[in-house]
Amino acid sequence: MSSRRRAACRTSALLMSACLTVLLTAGPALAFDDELGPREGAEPGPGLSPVATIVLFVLIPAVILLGTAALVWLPGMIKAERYRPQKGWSAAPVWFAGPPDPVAAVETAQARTGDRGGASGNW
Amino acid sequence: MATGSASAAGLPHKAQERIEHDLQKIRTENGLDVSVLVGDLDLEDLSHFRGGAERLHAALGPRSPEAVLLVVAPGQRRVEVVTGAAVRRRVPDRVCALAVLSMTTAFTGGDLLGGITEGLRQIADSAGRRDALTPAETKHDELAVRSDAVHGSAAAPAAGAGHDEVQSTGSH
Repeated sequence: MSSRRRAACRTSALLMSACLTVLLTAGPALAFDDELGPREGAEPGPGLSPVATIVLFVLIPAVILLGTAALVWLPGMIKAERYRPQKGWSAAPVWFAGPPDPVAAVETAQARTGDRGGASGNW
Repeated sequence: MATGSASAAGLPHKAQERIEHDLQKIRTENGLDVSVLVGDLDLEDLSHFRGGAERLHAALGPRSPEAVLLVVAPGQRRVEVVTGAAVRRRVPDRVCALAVLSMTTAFTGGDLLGGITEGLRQIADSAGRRDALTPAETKHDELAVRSDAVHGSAAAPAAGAGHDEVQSTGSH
C-alpha cells in the first residue's frame, strides 16, 4: 500500500514539475506587449493562440513521453506470462513424451520401489 | 494486467516446442528415452512427491525400465528425476543430483525453460551416444505430422491409422 502511495506521490511530483517547467519557459511568451512598442528589428508574428500553445507545449511533449513509456513497458507486459516462483502455478500439467493415455496409465501404474534411481530438489 | 494469474497460461508455446525438440534430439543422438512432465502433482502431502513421481515413471509402462522421467512442479517448487533400473548406469544418481542443482538454480530465477533444457543437456551428456531409438509413438502431434509426411496424398489420416504407419516405417 505504502509503495503504491509513494508511486502516486512520485508521479504527481513528476507531472507538476513537468507542467511548471513548461509554463515557466513559456511565461515570457505570454507577456503583454511592451509599452514602448516592439523593439527595433523585431517582427513579432501573429502569436500563438492559447489552444495552439497548449498543443505545442503540453500535448506534443505528453505524446512523446507516453510513446517512450509505452515502448519501455510494452515488451515486459507482453512477456508477463513469465514464471514467478512466488505466484504459484495454475496451468494444467503437460507431459512431453508421456504415455498415450496419461490418466489411465497413472491409475493402473504400480510404483514398485527400490530399483529406481534419480534425484530430488526444491527451490 | 491488474492481478491476472499470469502463470495460468503455463509454458509458452515456444518453450513447449523447444522441450519437444530437445527430447527428440536426445532420442536420436543419445538413444535415451526421456520424458518430461511440467505441472503440479495432485498430492495430499508434499513429502509424497518422490512416490508420486515414481508412480508417474511406472505409468510409462514397458518403457519405464529404460526411461528417464523429469518431473517439474512449478507451483509446488519441486523437481524430481526418476531413472529406470536399466539406465541407472548411463545416468547415475550423481549426475541427476547435479542436473537437479542446475535446474533449481534456474527455476529460482524464474527461468523454467532454461532450467529444463540445462537439466536435459546434462542427462544427455552423461548418457553418451547410442543408436537412435525409434520415433516416439506417443506424441500425437508428431504422429499427425509424420503420417502426413509418409503418404502425403492421403487426406488427413486418423491418428489411429497413422500410428501403424509410424511403427512400420519407424523401424528402418
